[in-house]
Amino acid sequence: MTQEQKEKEAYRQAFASVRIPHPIDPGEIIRDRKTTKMKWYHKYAAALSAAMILLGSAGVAYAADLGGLRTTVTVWLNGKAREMEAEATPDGYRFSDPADGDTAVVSGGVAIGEDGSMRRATLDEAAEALSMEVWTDEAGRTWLGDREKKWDITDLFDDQGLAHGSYEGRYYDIERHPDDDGFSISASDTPAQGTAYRALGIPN
Amino acid sequence: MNLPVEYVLPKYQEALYKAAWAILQDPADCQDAVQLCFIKYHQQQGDFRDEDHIRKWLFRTVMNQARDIRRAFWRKSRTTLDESYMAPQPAAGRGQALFEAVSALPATYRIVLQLYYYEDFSVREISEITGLSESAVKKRLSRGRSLLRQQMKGDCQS
Repeated sequence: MTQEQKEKEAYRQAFASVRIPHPIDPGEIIRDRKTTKMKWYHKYAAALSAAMILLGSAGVAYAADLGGLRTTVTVWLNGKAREMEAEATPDGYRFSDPADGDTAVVSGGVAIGEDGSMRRATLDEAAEALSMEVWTDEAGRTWLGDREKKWDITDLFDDQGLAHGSYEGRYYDIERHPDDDGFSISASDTPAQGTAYRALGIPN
Repeated sequence: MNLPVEYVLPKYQEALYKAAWAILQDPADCQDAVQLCFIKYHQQQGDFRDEDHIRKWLFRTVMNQARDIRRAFWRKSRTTLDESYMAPQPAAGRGQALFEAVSALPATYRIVLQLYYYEDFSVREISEITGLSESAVKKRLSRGRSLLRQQMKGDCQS
C-alpha cells in the first residue's frame, strides 16, 4: 500500500462516523416536487410555529408598506383584525402591537422555490405563513387554521402523513413530521399537479 | 441519459452528506443541503452522459447548496430545533485525532481533501466540481495536506 493509499484509508476511517441523521426517502423528494411552490422548509417552519404561539393564535397580516423600515399590518387574532407594526430583523420579522406591547417574532423564515433554491421570505410570505397553523387538540383531532377559519383535517391524512385540502380556490398541502411532532404547511392558489385535493367544507 | 431519483438517492446521499459536512459542519444544515440537492436533481431534466457525469453534478450541486446555506442570513442566529440532529461521534484514537484535525482546517481545504481522499476524485475532476483551476486545486490539496500533517504531527505518515 502506498503512502497515499494509507492516507486515504485513514481519512475514510476517520470520517466513517459522519452519517446522514435522517436518510432521505426518495418518495419524499418526489412528493416535494409537487408541493414546493413556496414551501416553508420544515426545520424553519418549526421556528415559525414557536413564534405563532407567542401571537396566541393564528393570525394573518396584510402589509401596507409605509416606505420605511417599519410597516403597518393588519393581523387576524381570534377572528378579529388588529393593527400591528412589522419590521425586518436580521433573521426574520418582528410584529408588535403598539397599543398593548404584544410582540411576535418570526425568525428563520425561508422560502424554497420551484427550482429548490432558497431565499429569505418576504413580509407578505411571512404574514401568509403566520395565517396558517396546524395543531392537535386534547381530543386528538387535528385542525387546520387559516386566518379566521378552521377545519378538522384529522381524516385527510394518508399513510404517509400527507393531507391535501382545498377551500374556495386555495389549495393546502400539509405534512406531518413524526420526528418533531410538528407539521409543515404550504398553500397556493393553484393545485399541485397530480395531487388530489379534498374539499375542506364549511369552516368551523 | 437520466437515472431515477429512487436509484440515485440511496446510492449517493451518504457521500453527498459528507461533502456538505466539509463546508457546513452542522448536521441539520448538511441534511438540508442534501435534500435540496436531490430536489433539484429530480426537478431538472438534465441530459447526462453517464452515471459518472451525474455523480459530479450531484457533488457540484450539493456544494453550491451548502455554500448558499452557509451564506444565508438566518444561519447565524438560528438555534438547533431538533435534538435528533446530533454531531457525529468519531472513533476514538487516531481516527478521532484525524477527524478533529481536518475539522479544524479552513473549509477551502476541507472540501478539496474530502473530494480527493474520500471520494477518490482526480485533480481534474475536483476542478470541474468546484470550479477552481487545476493549479488552484493542487495548491489547496498540497497546503491542506501540509496543514493536516502538521496538526497530526506525522501520525498520518506512520
